[in-house]
Amino acid sequence: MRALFVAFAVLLSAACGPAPASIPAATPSASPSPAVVTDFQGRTVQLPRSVSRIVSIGASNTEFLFALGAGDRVVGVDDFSDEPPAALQKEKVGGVKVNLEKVTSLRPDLVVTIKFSDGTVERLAAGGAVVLVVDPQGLGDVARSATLIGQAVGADGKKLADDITKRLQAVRERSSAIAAKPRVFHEVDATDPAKPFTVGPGSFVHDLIELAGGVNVAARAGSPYPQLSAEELVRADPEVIVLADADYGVTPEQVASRPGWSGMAAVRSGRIHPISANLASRPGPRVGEAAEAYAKLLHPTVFR
Amino acid sequence: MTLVAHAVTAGYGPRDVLHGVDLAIGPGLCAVIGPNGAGKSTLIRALAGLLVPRSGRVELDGVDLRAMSRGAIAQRVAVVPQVFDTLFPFTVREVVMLGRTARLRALAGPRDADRLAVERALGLLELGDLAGRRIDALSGGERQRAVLAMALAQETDVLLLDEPTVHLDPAHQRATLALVRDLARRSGIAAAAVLHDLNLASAMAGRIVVLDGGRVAADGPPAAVLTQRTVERIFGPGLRVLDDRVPPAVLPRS
Amino acid sequence: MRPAAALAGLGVALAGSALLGVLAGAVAVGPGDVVAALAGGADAPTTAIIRELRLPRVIAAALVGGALGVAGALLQGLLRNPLADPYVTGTSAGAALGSVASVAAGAPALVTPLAAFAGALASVAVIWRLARIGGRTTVLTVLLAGIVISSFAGAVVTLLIVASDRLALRLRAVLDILVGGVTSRSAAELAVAIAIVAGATVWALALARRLDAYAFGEETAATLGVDTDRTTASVLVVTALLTGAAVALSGLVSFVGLVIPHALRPVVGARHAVLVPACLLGGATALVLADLGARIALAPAELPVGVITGLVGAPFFLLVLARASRGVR
Repeated sequence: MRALFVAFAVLLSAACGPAPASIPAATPSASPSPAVVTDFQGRTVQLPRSVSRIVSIGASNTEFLFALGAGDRVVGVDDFSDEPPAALQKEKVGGVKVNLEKVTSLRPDLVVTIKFSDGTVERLAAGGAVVLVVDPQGLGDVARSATLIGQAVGADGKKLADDITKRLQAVRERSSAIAAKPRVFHEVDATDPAKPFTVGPGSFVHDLIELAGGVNVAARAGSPYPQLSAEELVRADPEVIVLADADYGVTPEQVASRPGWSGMAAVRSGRIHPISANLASRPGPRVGEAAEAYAKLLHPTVFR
Repeated sequence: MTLVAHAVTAGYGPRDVLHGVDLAIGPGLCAVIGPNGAGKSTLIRALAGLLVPRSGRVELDGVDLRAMSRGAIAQRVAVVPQVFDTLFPFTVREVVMLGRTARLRALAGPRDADRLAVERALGLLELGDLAGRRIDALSGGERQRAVLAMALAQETDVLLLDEPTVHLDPAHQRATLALVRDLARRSGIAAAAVLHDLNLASAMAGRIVVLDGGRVAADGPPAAVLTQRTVERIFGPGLRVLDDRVPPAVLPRS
Repeated sequence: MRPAAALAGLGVALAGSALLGVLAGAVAVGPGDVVAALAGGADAPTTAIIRELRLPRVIAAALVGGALGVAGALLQGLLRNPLADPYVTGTSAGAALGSVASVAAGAPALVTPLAAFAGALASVAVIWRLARIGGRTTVLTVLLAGIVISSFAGAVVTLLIVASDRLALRLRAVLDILVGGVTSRSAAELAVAIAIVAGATVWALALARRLDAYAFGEETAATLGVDTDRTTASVLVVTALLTGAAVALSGLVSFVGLVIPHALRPVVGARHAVLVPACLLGGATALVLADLGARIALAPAELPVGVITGLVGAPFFLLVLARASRGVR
């Protein structure tokens, strides 16, 4: 679903123009409670004193909430929230379009949501709940997300952030010792194999590839989720192909049979690996796990 | 050669237009006249096999038209249509060649006989100079002549004409009908033409069939049909017949 | 112009545009390397780029344009309507519905042309039934029917998208169908399309003389010796085959079938025996060039080719509509 979502997001952002630029974070208020924070959209948010009913929009936000032990206070999630399994039992509040009535009917005192360019955030806020926008894109956003959500629900987000950072650091240290860095093509969606969607600078998977000791073939792309021409891909000649669209039925055999793809190094050596989309497309609390999984694909002899 | 309608009842949807028409078309030019709605065009369509009779039948030399393919009928019966506007830039010669459709085979060019028939038809209607012109660039009268030439190129022994002269000036009306009459006389063609102009019918046709209310009201040579009594009965009291003339003439009453 | 000379000229134009199409692409490849790749003497990546990515795309564009050009000529001739074409009559929309349904059902890629054909046949048959009501049809009846069919097909597509989870996962594929674009196709897909387009074009040529006879209407065609029921059915099937093949390859590409026959009739004349091959070559040339434009207009981003044909075709359509409503009926 994420691949679809990304495709949609690309279309939408092309149609709606750039999202508002984020404003540098202000220093959190000195008083311990109630705290005033600046969220990912540059909004100043006064956090509620206590939180008992949370609606989470965005799969990574849901994962953070559960990882911080606030799972039983979550009363509603969006359709893309599929981890952990307990999230699937929660009330659904919509997917690409958030069902505002549904959100209101759940009477949340806190809504944690990703960014929307269609006014959804403003309408949520008008509904009376405290709305906190958390929308991690790159790896660097993960620690900040953990901290911010922890602050909002009264949990130790700082510790979660430190754990994640340590785990990533461990992968980075081992991979940086490896001299041979394979060229990697990370496939988000190749419905049209002549113009596959991949990841570029600004996306967390791009950061993940570099951290795991690989070179992203789309490293010079101008956007986080660019479309790459198959011609450029043939020229770039990836040594490893990672299929984040494997959940939608894409197989290494299919990839090998695409017109023009058979000569790529990755295809000839059989280094085409499926990866779970919900692990490798989500800058959430499991990025450490994702980095380890990615490193295993790129350097199977070093990371076992 | 005869085209015969036996007790033909025909119409559209639930409505009958022709009621038990018996008629035999033989060599020569026969004019079909009658007031609006009498069934003249419907008769032409039935005789051409385009409209299947609800009862009765149309026979060509004793063979029911329903037993013949369109291709076989087209080699014996040609129809000059009322509609002759086209959106497409066919040349006059190409239009006339359409008359050979039934004799040409798919994916093969025309043969000498086809070219000959086309040139002959072009000549008969004095279209030689216009043969290379686009039909959509011609006047209404020129187009009507081209369509008549198309029917002549079919080289049939029955020729059915549905108001073939409405777009022609008086001189061309006479010339065109004279051409059809002479062809009919000379080659033994059976021609039937729906006409509105009673004087034209009287002057050109050897036989006049009067249709009224879907039935044959009168049938015979002009002198026998165009009498004051018959004309008044069919067309109302507004016309005066000069039946002392040969052929008779019809004038509006003043 | 003599038909043979006109067809030869169109053939040269197609070859030239195909060459341009192969020379231009996302990755810069010199003309010498392109020739070497086509001849089999270039390095492996260049050969793959030219032979497996660019050439198939150019071939796909040519097939789509040729098929739509011929389908437009046939529909205009059959309906005696200067505005008929697979797109405006809703035939393409029917084919798109068939394609989407087959994608939704997860059918193998080679089934898509069949499903597209079935959808095209259903919608073109509806158009024909409507066009016959009352014996003669105005230009506008067909257009209105086309709008209705397109809206209906669009509604069913939306319904499928919303109702079918499986389809939602393939939303991108559905978008590709609706937006209309040419892409590199596998040799097998191209082979199927080539077989359909070639077979349908030969069939259209066999029908050409009978279709000429429709110039003064269906009834006059009958008096000229044409078995109109069978011929009409054949033309509808051929049109649906061509539209289905085109939509299966590229989705909804607008107006090619409208513009090409119009542009070519003044040059090659109205006879379908010449017009059909001319539209095959002319349509192919036009879409290869349009796809080239789509690739370079906003490079490195690519426009769907339907954007180009729509930008060029819509004003043309209005022009023809204005002329038709002034001149005819």
